Amino acid sequence: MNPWPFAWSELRRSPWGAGAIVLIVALAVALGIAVSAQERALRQGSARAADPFDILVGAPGSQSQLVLTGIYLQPAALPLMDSDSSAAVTKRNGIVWAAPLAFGDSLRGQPVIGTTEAFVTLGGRRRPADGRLFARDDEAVVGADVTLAVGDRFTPTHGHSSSDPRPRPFEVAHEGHTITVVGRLPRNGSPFDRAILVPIEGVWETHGLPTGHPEGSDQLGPPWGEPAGGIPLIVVKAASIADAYRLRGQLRSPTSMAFFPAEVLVELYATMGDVRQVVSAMAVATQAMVYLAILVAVLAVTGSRRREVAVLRALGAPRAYVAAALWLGLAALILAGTVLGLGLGFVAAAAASSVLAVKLGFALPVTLGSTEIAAAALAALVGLVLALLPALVLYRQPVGVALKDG
Amino acid sequence: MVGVTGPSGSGKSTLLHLAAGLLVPTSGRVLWSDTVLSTLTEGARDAWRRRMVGLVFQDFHLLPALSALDNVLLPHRFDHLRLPAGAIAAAHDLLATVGLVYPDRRAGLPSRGEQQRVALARALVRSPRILLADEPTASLDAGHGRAVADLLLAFAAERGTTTIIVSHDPVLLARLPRVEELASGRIAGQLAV
Repeated sequence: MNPWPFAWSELRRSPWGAGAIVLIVALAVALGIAVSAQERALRQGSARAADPFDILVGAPGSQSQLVLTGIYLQPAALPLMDSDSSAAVTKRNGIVWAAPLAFGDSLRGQPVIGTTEAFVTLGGRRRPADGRLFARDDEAVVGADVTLAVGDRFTPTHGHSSSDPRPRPFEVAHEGHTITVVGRLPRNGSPFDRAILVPIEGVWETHGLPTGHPEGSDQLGPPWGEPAGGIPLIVVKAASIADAYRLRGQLRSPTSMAFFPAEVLVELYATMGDVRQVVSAMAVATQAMVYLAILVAVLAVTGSRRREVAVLRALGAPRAYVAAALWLGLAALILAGTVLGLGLGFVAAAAASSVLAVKLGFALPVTLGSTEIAAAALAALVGLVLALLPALVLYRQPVGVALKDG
Repeated sequence: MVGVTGPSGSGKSTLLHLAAGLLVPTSGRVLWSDTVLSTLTEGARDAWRRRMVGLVFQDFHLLPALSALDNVLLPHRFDHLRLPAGAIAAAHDLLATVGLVYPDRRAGLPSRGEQQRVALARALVRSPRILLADEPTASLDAGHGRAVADLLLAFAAERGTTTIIVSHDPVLLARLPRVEELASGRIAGQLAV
């Protein structure tokens, strides 16, 4: 038998009702999909941004704050390490590269970060997409999204301002310290796409601190002699995983802490996972209510179909044909709604991602993974099973009576 | 070919439903040739009705969203996933025979007379041995009523189909060789024609 022509005819009889069912199924499915896809995007995006940072070393304090400021460039004042601790870092074995990060200045909301060539090139693995590396303490290499071109000159402002480009009343420009952009890095989807990287000596000098090099020397980078400015954070790239664990232990002292960013992120993800579970439970509850509402609505109109069903039976249709046609019609709507919901959920997550990416500074890649597909498939399956109920009601309906009423 | 008439509530429709196997009598039997319809299971009665009976209703009961052609083909769908070979051509022929010009138009669109022609074609598509019609002309004007009656009677005569027509339409009843009058569920007598 082929119940589709009758099912199709019934759907065509009430296109608005059919459309409404597709839409509310789609919205319910989309909610669950969007939450799940978005959470994974946030997790992957934040993990990817933390990728180059094997070990963070800083003065004792909040690890979370060090991650937020050092990796995600959320402005905050960090305690400085004493110079003995920072000098000790580079002397260890098993380090591929280590570089300091010094925060404090900005330009129109874009952080100006003092560091060394090792960080700019990620130990020689990265070259500017445009221009060259800095060679003097008044030159800068900018991230892909910085609103400066190679050759531009600027004066950094003390402290962080918001992304609002207008000057603030209490912002103080470092007059007399003009920096020239000499290179631009390729985009890597991390907050550093918005960062302006300068030699750390430049940051120290701008703030009137000693550069660790003899007066008049144009040397950049370590080793720094005494006296030199303070360092809030050192990024360490370890040669191997074993080295990483060993270094983490060795670099812990009463005057410094060392940890993997992943330790902080895992805690963050656990919290995010809890939130996702709550929202996912709400999404499932929404789906359940949607199905319940559809079921009630369909059962309510099933009565008004008694005549069509009776006619079909009179023409010789078996009970199973009628039940199959009703089920098929509902199943088509539920499947259409589920597929539409997958699309809507993806679009919603992608839209949320692009908004969040601007706020957080790192890219959030949205994908529909097996988790989302499986969740949608399960929702559809439950819907298909529930759709059997009205079909069963029709199946049990005696035919002669209905025809006589007509 | 038999006509059945009688006042409302006299049991005309019930008789037709019993004859079609849609109802089972509480006592007595329904016999068609060697088939004791009243003792068959519901599934067997459905199958028998599919094979043997064509039904025409007063209100046509077409599926308005489907084309006239798809309405006519509908009875084939009950037991075929794909249409049998030649079914579409046969349905076109039938629609041409009943005088329908646009077989691909939606069935809800044409006039009532045309709708009843489509319904007639649907009843005939599986070449039934038995044709049961419940007030086939009652909701049509005189001209369309006559045309539908012409088709119905011509088909029945041509193929020798056993035909029971329940009707109040004196014009239609006058064309039938035999008319039974029902009263309170019993045959009250044969109407002189």
